[in-house]
Amino acid sequence: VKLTSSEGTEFIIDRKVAEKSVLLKNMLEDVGESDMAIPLPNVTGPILNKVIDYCTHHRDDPFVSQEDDSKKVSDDIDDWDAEFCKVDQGTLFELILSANYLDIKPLLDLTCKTVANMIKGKTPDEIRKTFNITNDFTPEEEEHVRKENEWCEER
Amino acid sequence: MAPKILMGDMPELMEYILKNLKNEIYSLYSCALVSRHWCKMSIPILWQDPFPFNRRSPLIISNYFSSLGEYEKIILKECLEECGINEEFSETLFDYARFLKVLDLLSLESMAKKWIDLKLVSYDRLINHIINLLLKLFIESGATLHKLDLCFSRYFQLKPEIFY
Repeated sequence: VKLTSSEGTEFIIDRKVAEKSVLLKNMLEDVGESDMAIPLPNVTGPILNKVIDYCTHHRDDPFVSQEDDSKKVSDDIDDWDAEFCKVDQGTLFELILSANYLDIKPLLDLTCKTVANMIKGKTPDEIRKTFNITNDFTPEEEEHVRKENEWCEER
Repeated sequence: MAPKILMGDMPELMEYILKNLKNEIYSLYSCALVSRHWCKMSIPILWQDPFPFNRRSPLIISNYFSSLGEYEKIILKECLEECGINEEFSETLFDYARFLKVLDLLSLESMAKKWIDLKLVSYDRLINHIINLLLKLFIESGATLHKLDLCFSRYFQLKPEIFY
């Protein structure tokens, strides 16, 4: 299967690897075998490269389709996946967008869990620093939110 | 530059990230205080299952009172005053009752008891009234429950009229 990234770089991958993406799987089923490259205008070359790495490593994993909210815990990431996610923040968020666009649920889960782990245990100020977010609360609003949610505070 | 996903683009992806923290109540509380957008995204998750956190403060109950209808507020106020409690129902930022997804009557009862204990009065009649009021509120708030545990203590009496 041939894919082209947003800059026009061509990638050739096994059909089995491509089918980790539900978007590509459906496309391939609709179009059938073809020499035509599938254009992916939303994904850059370096990101597509990472996504292909992921799909190649996980090519034999069983397919999990149903949404299972109850199983969401953020610490069961295996070594390969953890290593895979050691990228700069920009890349990590690009990966989330691509996993969402290409519809690769396990990759979306993994990258979102990784971001959740970056949030875990931090104070609001530490979170703002981590992601470079501006506090746009007025002091009164902030106090109001704090007051209505102070039941969360550890006593 | 802050990542766009965390600034309001594609809120469904941010929700997906934050759902990983649904058992990390302290982290979610931090998220709610980061910025307006973060607040809007994390509060619904924080309030979907707030009762089992036994070590948490029963102050949460007061927030629900603010969502009660005007009539219920008057009745409750009278009822509380009879017991010597002076409670103001101030406007809340969110209609928290709507976010509830898991309801376990025993936890609700124990939280309501703690709330009354906080006010240092005896509660026999009051507790029943409060729980019935809150149940009515949850029914009317349009909350979509994913889990409901109907086990309750034998002192508790459900008033059938809350379902009308």
